[in-house]
Amino acid sequence: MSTPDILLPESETNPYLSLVSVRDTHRELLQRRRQDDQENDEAFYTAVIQFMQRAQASGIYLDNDSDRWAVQNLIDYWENQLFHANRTPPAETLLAEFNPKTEPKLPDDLCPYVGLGAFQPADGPRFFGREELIAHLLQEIQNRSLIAVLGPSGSGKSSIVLAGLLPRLQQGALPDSQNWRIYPVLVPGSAPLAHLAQMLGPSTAAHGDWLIDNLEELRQNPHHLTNLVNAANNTTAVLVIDQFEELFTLCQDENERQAFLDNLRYLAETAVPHRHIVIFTMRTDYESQLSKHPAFQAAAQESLTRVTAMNAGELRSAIEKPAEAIGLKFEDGLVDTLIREILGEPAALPLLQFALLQLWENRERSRITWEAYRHIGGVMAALENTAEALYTSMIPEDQITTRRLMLRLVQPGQGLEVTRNRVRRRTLYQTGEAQDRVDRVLDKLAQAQLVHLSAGASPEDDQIEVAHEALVRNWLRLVDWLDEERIHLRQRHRLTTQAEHWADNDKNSDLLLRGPALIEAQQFSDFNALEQAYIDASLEEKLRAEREKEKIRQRERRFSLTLGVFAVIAIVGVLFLFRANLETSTAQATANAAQIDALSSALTAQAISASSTRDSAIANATSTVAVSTATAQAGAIETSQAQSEIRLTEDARATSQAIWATSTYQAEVIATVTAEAATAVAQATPTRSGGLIRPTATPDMGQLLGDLQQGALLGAFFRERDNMPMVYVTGSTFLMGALPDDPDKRDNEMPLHKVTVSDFYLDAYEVSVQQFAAFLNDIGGYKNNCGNGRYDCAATGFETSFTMLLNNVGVFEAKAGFGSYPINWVTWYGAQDYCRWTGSRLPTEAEWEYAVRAIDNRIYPWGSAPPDNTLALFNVNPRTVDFFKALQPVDAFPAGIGPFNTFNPAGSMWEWVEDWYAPNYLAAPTDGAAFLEDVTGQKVIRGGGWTSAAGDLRTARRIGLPPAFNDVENSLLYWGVGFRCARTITP
Amino acid sequence: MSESTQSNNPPAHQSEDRFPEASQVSHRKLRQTIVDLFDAAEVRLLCSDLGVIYDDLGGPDTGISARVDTLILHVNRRQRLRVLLTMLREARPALTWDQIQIDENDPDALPTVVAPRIAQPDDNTPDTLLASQGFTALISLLRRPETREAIVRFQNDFQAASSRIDLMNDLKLAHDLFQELENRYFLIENDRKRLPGDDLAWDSLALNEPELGAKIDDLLSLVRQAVFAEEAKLWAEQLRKVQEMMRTAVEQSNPDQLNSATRRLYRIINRQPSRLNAQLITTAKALRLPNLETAVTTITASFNQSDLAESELVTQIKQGSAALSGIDARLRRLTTEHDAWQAIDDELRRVETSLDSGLEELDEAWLDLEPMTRSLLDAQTETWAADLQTVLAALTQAIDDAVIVTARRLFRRFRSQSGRRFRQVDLELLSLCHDLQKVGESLDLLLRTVK
Repeated sequence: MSTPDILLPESETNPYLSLVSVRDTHRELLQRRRQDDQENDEAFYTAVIQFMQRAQASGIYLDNDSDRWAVQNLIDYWENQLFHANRTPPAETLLAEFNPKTEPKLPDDLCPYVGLGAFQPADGPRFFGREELIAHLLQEIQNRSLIAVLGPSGSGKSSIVLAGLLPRLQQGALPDSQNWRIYPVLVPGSAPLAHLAQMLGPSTAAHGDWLIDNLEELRQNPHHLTNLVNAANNTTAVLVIDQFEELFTLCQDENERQAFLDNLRYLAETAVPHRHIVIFTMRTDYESQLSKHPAFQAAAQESLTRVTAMNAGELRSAIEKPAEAIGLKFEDGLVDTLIREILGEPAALPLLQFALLQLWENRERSRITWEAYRHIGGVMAALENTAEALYTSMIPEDQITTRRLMLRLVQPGQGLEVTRNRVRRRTLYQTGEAQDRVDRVLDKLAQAQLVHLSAGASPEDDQIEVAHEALVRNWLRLVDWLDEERIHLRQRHRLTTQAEHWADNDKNSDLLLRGPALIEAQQFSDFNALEQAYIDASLEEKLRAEREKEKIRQRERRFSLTLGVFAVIAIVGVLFLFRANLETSTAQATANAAQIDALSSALTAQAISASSTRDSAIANATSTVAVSTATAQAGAIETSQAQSEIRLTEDARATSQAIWATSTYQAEVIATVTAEAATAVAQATPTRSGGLIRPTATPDMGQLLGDLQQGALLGAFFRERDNMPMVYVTGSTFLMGALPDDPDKRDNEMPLHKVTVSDFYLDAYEVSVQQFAAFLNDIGGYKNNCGNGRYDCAATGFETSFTMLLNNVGVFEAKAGFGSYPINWVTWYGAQDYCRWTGSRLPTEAEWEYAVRAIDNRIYPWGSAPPDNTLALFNVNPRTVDFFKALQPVDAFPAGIGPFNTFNPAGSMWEWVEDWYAPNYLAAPTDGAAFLEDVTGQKVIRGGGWTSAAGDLRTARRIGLPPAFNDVENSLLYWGVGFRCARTITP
Repeated sequence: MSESTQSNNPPAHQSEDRFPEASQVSHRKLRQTIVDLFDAAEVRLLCSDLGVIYDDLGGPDTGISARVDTLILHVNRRQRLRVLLTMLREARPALTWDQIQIDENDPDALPTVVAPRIAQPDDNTPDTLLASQGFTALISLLRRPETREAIVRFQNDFQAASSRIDLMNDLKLAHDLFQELENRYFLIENDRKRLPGDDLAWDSLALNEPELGAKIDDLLSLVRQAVFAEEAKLWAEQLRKVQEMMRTAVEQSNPDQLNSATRRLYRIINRQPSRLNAQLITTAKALRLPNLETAVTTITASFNQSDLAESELVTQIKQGSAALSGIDARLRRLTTEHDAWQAIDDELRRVETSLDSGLEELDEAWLDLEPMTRSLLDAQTETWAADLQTVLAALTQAIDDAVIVTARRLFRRFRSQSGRRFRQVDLELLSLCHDLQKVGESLDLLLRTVK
């Protein structure tokens, strides 16, 4: 027999796949023989012969000695029966020899395990291990009509009822139970009576009217359910309510809840003309809720069955018997290990089922192997690993969507409890996410069995829910999200309480919000009137206090500021001239130098008189700079304009600092930044009228920013190691995070907080493929060669086709024509080592955000205009657009440069920064340093990538990503990750 | 061959001679007489007439004396000695019984074929003996043309009955030998289960294996000359291979080969007795003893108006005819019960192999087994039946309660007790078949005389 790669479902001629299949047919034959006198039934004996032939052939699949022996005995038994009936048996009755080459490759649709979902009535044939409990429930049903099945989440209570009890009732396990009317299983949801009416109603055109009438009747009349059931049935009816706890978690209407319970109770109390059975399953942790409904509780207590953890034998049955039925085998000792892992764990059944499903998906032909077990990481880790692997394989946009979707499907309560929601797809579309992304993420989650989709009348009506609460307990990332959400809810709750307290105390200003509490409160948007008034009053109070403070400050520094402004004017003028000179002829430069000499002499004299003030240092520096700048300028002029490195002396940097020293502290909040900075600039910003610098008449934020940009260029230089131009970023205090009114704000971008960054250099461009290739050639490879030799530096053409970095047997180079394109698929360690190699470092997250945001809280690096294809590379669909055609060189999109002249700060590649990722800014440093506590195992990437949506190009946007990928195929996100470096300015 | 062998009219005086009983025939003298009076070709012809395969009487190097010796023993075991003697007399009319009877100098008679000992012996004068005597009496009346004519008319019925009796006997003997073989198998299986932990098991196997081998030899020997020899060739060959494997396994202390041999042996034991039983039942049904009774009654009707009406011979014939009804009733009862126990045995075997892995098969089989057994027990008042009823009830309860350990234990007790009853019925049927051989022998003689 040839090797069956894909075995078709068992037909009349195929060998049986397992002993269980053989036994099943054998029993069918026994039952058939028992039903009638089959002595002369040719069809029966034909079936027997057919069975024998198939059973004989099944030997090729059976390698277990006892299985073979059992099948052989069954064949021999039927051979004897044929002889007895004077029939001729098949010529060959000796079991075929086992042949490992013919071991069947079990088709996927034969999967014997259900994963996280509960077993359904149709799963009865593969539901094992709960026989004793089911027998107990059958006994209970004989004596009681209200049956409560309680157990912890994950104990298998739903499965026991749905796949164990109901099929047995349908098979006639109790007298006449095969004729009982078993209604479809009901899940209460938020509107239990409506669901009940829906289930009971006729499936006719008049259903709508019927529903309305009867829904009201169910509310009003506790006997109405009984009346409906009696009218519809001439026999015992069985009503099963699964996830009964939803009555207390999702249903918010106490009257509806009470009416539902009353209807159920009266139905269960009915004895004539038939008694009816009500069975419900509920999580043990909601048992106390029943005490609020004493009549129902009393009735339920009489037949309460508690689901306990399965013992070893039951677990073995649950694992092995479904496998035996389809010929699935486990390698020796594997089942014992699985049992040991979860024995005694009352809520581990979903984990077991999920692990079994994963093992099935990693099987080899018809065998579950130890290798598969190791691959999934064991029973307890399989769920976490699968969820995490899926999440990290997603592109950042999808990760965000995943978080949002999951938090719609499970929501934390005030305490530790979590509420599962069933949500329509339509509702998820309304969250502002792109529909195709929602669909894509849902498909992935469903495919991984993390969520369950119930088909609705249309795709938009599909019901979506998490596959099991086990996911909430075992996926640590989701646990974190829920914790954050819980904190968020608590903060929100605290705001409400504080507002009420404020109102109760005659709106005492001492009770207003201040400092971080006020910033925290501004994260929220759905205020009621009282809360809004409370926030407004708090902000007003804050502004008032700041105005008071500022008045005092202004008085203190008036004198020194005047002197400083003069100094600034002089220096900026020098620098402006310096830049102008670069663009003019040598002759002009010589003439200007004479002017500079004269000006610097005057400045020096002024600086001496300012030595006793707080700004004396600046003045000193300014005078020195003026002189040395002039000298440097002369040298520069002597060299070619095309020289590759522009250096600014340390004095010039100090000058640049001085320009902004006067305005940095004014950037504490948005409102004051504009006013204060503008005021300073009004006195200090140079104009270019007549080639000399003069103060402008009015403050102008635009000009202020223009000068920042100019300063960046003036301070720029080419880095020695890789010829990368680095711009000079003048530090300041700025507000980091999403603004309260930002419609696209994300939870991890909050709270908005004040950060002060010092000056630093930043690469004008993202590091290119050619530069990175040179780095790799220098350090001698990329495999386990970064991060102290523990991590790959990047992926190359060896691993993925989505890179421009070629690896010609250890020699790295850019794909032809792509040298100036940004390096991608680089690990954080690769980025860090590269920067170190150049004598730089990765920028901190605060530095990065400041470099694209400056002091005017712009939404995008170029301002507030939404992104388009002249500003940035983004929103590329990698499935429809060729990777190599999609990307652009590092100096593309000049219109989209940031406030400090950095190219492609948004789009193109996400960029690594120094910081570990935290889910919010609550613990973030405020001095511009990196967040160095690893709480998520992820580093921060910023700026959005070539596949990102527009919202991801926002200056506040941030996501976390593991610093290195485990395997390239599952790390697609890295195809959009590159970096640029920063350098600290040392005195 | 002499002309007399071809004659259809044997001398009248010969018919009147009384055949010596086997216990009166000297084994040595008979062998010597045949060797002296017949050459190899004639012995081969004799064998053919007797339905014996000459070549199976020995190997290629076996001499005629040894072959004749084997032939005599075979014929004697099948209780056809008188047929042989008749054929010898037909071929050599000068042969006298004195030539072959035991005397003081030669006291070793042919071994008597002893009927199986059964718990409930039959009546004082067994029906089979009466029937045999009745047919023998008919031989004496063959001189009468009307009697001869009537017998010729029923010749086919007599021939068919004789053949079926012969076949039944072979089948039952083989079935019985399988039963004995299974007893030996159990000893071997018990030893096998002690391995590999208990090396002393090999010592025990060294004792039990030859016993098993000897029993296989008996079976093979029987099969070689059985009526169903052709059909049995396949399993006989399998049995021979198993015997060889078993011997080698024990000699070499090879547990794998021992496992393989015991599995193969069990498979043969599991299937062949059931087949033999099925054939036995079919043959018994086809025997149609009432037809024989009708034939004899028809023949004796002609005597009623004759001078022989009151003769002793006619009385014997009538008694023999009447006895056929009794034999038929007994045969029916025994084959029916035998068949029922065989069916139960098949079910029990099926369950037994799956018992260690759970009660599911027993659960399913019990739906058949319980009513099958109960129908056999209901009419019984004997102690064995009461005991089995008790076990049956307890086992039914244990299965209902799904008490695995108890159910297993009771199942094995049930299997043992039902097996004992099966064996009892087995022996009774074997005894009847043995006795029927006497009838068959008389029928053969009658037919040969008619010829």
